[in-house]
Amino acid sequence: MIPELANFILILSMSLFFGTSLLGIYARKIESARILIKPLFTNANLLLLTAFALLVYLAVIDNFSVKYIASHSNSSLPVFYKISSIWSAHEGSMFLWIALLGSWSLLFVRSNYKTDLYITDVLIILSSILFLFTAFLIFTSNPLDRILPLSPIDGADINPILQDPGLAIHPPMLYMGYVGFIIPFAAAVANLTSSSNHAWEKSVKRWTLAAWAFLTAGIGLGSAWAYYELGWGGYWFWDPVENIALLPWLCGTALVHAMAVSSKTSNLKAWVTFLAMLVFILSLFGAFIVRSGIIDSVHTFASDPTRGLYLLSLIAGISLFSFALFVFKGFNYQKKVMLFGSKESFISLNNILLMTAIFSVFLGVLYPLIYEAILGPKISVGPPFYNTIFAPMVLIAGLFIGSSIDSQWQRPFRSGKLLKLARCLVLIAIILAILYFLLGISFSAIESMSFVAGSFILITYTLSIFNTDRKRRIVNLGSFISHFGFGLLLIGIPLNSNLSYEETVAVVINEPKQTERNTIILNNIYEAEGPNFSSIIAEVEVNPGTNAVLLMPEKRRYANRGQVTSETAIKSSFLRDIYINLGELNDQDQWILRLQSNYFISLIWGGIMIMLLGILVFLRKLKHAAD
Amino acid sequence: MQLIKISSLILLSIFFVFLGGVILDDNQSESVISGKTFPVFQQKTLDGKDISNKYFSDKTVLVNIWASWCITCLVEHPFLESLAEDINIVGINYKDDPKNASDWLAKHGNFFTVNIHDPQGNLAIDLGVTGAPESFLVVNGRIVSHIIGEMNQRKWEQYFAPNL
Repeated sequence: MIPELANFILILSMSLFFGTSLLGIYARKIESARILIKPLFTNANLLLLTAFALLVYLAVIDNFSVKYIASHSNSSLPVFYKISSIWSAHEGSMFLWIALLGSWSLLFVRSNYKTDLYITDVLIILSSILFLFTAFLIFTSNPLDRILPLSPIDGADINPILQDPGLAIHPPMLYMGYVGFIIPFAAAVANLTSSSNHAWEKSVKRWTLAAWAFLTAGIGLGSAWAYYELGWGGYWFWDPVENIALLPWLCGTALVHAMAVSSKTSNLKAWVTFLAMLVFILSLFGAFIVRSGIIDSVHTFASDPTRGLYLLSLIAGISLFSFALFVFKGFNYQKKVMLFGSKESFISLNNILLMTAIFSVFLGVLYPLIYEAILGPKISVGPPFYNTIFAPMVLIAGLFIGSSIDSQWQRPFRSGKLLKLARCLVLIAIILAILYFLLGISFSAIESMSFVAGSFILITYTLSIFNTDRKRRIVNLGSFISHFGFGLLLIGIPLNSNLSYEETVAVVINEPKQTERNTIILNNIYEAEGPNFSSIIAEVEVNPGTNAVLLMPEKRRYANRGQVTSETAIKSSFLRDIYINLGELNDQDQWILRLQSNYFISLIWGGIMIMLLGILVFLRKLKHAAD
Repeated sequence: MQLIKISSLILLSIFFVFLGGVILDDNQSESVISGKTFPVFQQKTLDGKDISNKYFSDKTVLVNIWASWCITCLVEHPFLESLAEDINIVGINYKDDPKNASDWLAKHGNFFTVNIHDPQGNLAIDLGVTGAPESFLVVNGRIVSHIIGEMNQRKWEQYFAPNL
């Protein structure tokens, strides 16, 4: 009964979204009808959220007559994973995606009191998009379909890789980021259609920053999840799905910076409109690539051409409409002069770099498709391409970020600054020399570019704290913290890639084994039972003596799917993470262990967390300004 | 100016039409290799033993092209592992470094009956391989099925299981 009810509510919500957009179009001319749009939109969203809540409830009470729950959940799972099983495959993730889209839209609409032509247009855009997506859900991938009359007694279980707290938060975070960009999109489009001179960038700045913060956190969590739980041994793989999450992130970065310029100096107005449209379209494009399965990736779900085509036509429609609008109506702004050396000039230059980065990643993702379509064979574009392209851009961006710290809005470059910047570069050269001669660290060209960029940001930013000129002190604490975090990230990456190493050893119980740089003892190995899996656990001691580290890597076999996963054991410290994987027993009764030493991972996670902290500080400041 | 505007929109439309074509075209095409005998070869295994096409003449095996640098291989690995209980799986380690390959096997589990080392991709060329992963079903020395990309339950049931 409940699945039918949920289905009915979902269909009702779809119809209401359709109704809202029709009413909105009517209300563009007839002002008295405007009073009705907002309540209608609110109700449609509440219905959507109710339907989603019902699906969660059905998963919790183990209703296996629902096909989706039967194929992705199981009665032996803890409640927590029963809930997260909803976003472990296509239909449920799409539902979550749409529910979040609705929530963002609702919050934004409720925060605007007046319903003028601009807000009416915002509502038309939001409800049309929600209508199209709920229709997509209902007609091509309904998670509420049932298996009747003979429903299974138990479910097939969630993929074990996904039975992890990381999965429970990583996708929702990421989706929050993706769909949050609908706010700047709707505002930018509505601003053009209603031809209002509304200060739309100012009103959506907070929303954009919030979406960008969620996306940053979502990507960071995904990468931490791959590192700590999946045991991939790294934090970034340039996998197609990582890349397409990076596209809206890069575009969002460009957008929040360009918004700062346009609200401070009223430069770049048309550019901000364009970016606001692009960022949401790139988010949709990401959803399309993952869902359609046209690119092989670790994240691929079972592919289905009809879904892909539906999504593609949806994105094509949305982007052609918005870009056509932009092309014909988006340039009605006065051109303003920008002084070189002013804050806005540095931000604009970095915007160009970010666009180049977006284009390169986009090319890297699509090149194999185009190549295959024209020439036949499948090829893949890998890390060397991205690393080579990104390193010089990161270097230039770092130099601009560092130089911008004591620049001012609408003030030209002061030649006295050159000397200061040159001194910083000399200092970095000295640091590199010390690293090389005293510690024996010699960076490759690519690594050193990132290192120079990172340390340049850190040095210039630190020096600016002691600046005596009051006007040139830190004006924006949030931005200061974020860029500082970015600097840490940029020096963490080359240090990590340069210093980390891997060793594989075959060991017998209680016999210490000396490798090139470590001593390893396998103290014990035993079998254990978990709730829905059985496992083999090893107790491994690394470097016995004063700084001994005890690790317990594990191998699990899941009863329901027969899938085997290895649970990596990690011991983290500031300097290095020791990472052990338990392999197989070889024919000489030795266990294979793979030991990885990853250096300065803490700088990478720390950098991302500090970036997030900065965004939060900035959001607080914006909230105060708004109140 | 107007011309630039309109042509940029047209370009964008072409791009979407292209993507649509890719989706429609993405289904498994009939492989030319199916029905042919397994190509003649003489290679080493990853453990350094000799192996030739005679190995396949009297067996039913699943041949899987994989490499340690291939992320999709990691995705299909658990599924192949569950298949390994019912069918012998022979790996062809494709354009890979032997040390990376053994590390990868130690880390993720080795269920392969034997692994043919194909550093130059010579055998893979004879098999018509376009990349990793790909899988073949070989019955008594004849190739009966072939898929490109990740092996999963659906593809197994659709393309391989009927030919067993």
